[in-house]
Amino acid sequence: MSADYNAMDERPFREMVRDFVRAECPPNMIHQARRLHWREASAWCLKLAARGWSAPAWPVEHGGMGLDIGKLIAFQDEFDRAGVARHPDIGLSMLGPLLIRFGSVEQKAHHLPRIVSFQDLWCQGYSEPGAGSDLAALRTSAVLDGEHWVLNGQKIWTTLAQDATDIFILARTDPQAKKQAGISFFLARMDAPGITVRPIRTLAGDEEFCEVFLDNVRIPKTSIVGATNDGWTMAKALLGFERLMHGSPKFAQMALFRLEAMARASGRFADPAFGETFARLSLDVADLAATYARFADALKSGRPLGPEVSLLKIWGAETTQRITEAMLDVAEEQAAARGGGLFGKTEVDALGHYFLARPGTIYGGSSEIQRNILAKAVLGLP
Amino acid sequence: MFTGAAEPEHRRQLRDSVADFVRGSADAKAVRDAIATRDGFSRKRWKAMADLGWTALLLPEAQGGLGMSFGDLAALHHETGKAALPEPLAIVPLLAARALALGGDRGLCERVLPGLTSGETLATLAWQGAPGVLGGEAVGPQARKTGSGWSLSGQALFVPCAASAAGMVVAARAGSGIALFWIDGGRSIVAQQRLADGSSQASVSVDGVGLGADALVAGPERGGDILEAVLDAARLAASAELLGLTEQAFAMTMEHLRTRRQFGAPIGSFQALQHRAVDHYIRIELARSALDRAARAMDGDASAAERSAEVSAAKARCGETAREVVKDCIQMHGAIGYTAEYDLSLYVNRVLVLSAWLGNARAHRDRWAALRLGAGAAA
Repeated sequence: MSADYNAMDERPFREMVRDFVRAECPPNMIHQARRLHWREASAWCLKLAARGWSAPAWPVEHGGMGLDIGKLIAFQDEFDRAGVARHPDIGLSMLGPLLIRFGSVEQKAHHLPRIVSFQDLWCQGYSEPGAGSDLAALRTSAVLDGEHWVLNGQKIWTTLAQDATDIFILARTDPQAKKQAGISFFLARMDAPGITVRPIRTLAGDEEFCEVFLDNVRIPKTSIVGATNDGWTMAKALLGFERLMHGSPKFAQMALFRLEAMARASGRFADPAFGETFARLSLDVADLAATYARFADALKSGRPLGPEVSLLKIWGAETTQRITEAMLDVAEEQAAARGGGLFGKTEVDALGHYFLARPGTIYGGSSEIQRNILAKAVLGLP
Repeated sequence: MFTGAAEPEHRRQLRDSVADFVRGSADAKAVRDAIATRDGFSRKRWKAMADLGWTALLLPEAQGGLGMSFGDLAALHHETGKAALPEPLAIVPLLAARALALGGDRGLCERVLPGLTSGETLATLAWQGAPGVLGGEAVGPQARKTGSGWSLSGQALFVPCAASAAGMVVAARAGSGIALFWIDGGRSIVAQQRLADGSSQASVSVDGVGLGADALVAGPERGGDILEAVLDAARLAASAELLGLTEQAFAMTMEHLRTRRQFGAPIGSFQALQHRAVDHYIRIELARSALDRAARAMDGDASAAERSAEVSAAKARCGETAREVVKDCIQMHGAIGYTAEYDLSLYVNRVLVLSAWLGNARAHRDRWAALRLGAGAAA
């Protein structure tokens, strides 16, 4: 069904990926300094799916490419070099791996193919107005009523919820239990009666995230993943996948390529001070990539993702921010130009990249929370 | 702590043997005693290290060595770094003996190498002509062909271990290339500096030194490549040692944060200190990744330029991380961290020496950029 990519030499593999991207990726996907909506990314997503390339990291048996870590990095690197923007990937990067590990046979059989084909687009119902960094303080409730769970509450900062067909939700199923103990993990259709979505405009001017209101939403009893009141196990596992995803070097690498392009176009490499800044940032990205590969290696060899993974997210997000701040410096008077400016003949949206990098240290557990976790769980500080 | 792919069994055994050695003969007291001597290290311990094969780790088995890899070398130095051992493991075997071995002159190898690998004699390398430069372009001494051999002139700066060495390899500009020579004794130390960790470096003059043809380690057509190769191996070793030093200093500091109580609580419960500690932890993990990558590049079939780029990336990351972390280890310890008698001082001092040795982080970032990004970006 699919070629044995892992048996290929790296060079022809890269050439294959590069050729495909060059031939098939629509121009509107290239060098976008913002998260793309489904209407913008759908043509590209469907091409990836048709080629069997939508889930490079997933096992082949579930419709993925089953790439080993070297090939996975090469695959991503070719996308980054071409400047291919991130497409809607929450189902692919977060829910899919979670279902592969914790889902029932029926859940896997139903959902995984629909994720890989982009038939379903998922969003993540985690944060609430009163439960951000303190996620376990969430108050959305789920009550069993015959053959259905009934959900009530409010989610917020739900990325691209307005495009999603489905949502995975953390909800409280035992109000008496202590915080983490009474939470369960649910899957729901976004068109279920009682779900209302209200987009929120960001600093960048986009409607990247939303509020999601749950008002007596009835979902089938089988919509729970794992056991009742065992949702925190899954919430944590998913946060691990999320941190690994957010710790991927690709965001920093993409920004670095843009910084390099605008600096070359405007002759900034003649300035030794900029050369030093650029070398430092480049090594920050290179060493992130090497560390990411170590984690991915460990994961592949079957070791569970430990709390150490937070270091990737901290370093990745903060490095990306430093790169985009250097972009503002290089942009000089065009730093605050909405939609970007022209540097020589190269168009770069420095402001867009700057804004795009800001939430990286906030979502998926803020950098401060990640540091708290590492201090206690890894360094053993009291 | 988290590590990536599991290490091969022989490397784990090597690490264990270093740890055993440290427990047996190189605790902090023994290290302090050695630092106070004129050599700045212990000759007796040096001999013991040689008996374990550490002075011949990279040498092929045919030349009496262990024939191990750069990954193994990094593991050895990582472990000796954890104990802040002051012996010249990155100098005698990696700069002097290895230059002789790579040169391959049979007479010299048979005459000099056995003494160096057995720990009986010490040797060093003299090459550098200017501060802050890393490559063959910076060679100080010059060589001129004479009727029967060679005549040397000029000076080399920052020669480590010069006063203790019984001989040295000298790199000298010869025509458009760089030639390597062996000089027995006969060195002339113009000036000497004692360094923070008790070791020393010297300016060495080779003015008027006349050598026979049998002193040639490598001719001008390949001496430059050998010089780069031995310098990069020593830089890899220094990077590994820096990582070990940093880890140990950091571990001491974490223990201090867990046990030192002020205001009725362990100071490690204060978030300001926790978050700084995490930043150091992250940097240490990045340094580990950079070191692994460099060792793999040295062991693999990468080009010479690619190997040099990865070594520079590792030296830049390990050197900078070491300086950043031990600086804050002093701060987190408070006043005790500023005393000479507390063992943290051993680590601080050695970090300051090794992070500057064979190129600091700034110099290696520049070299990395020139190799990786090309002249267009570096210009």
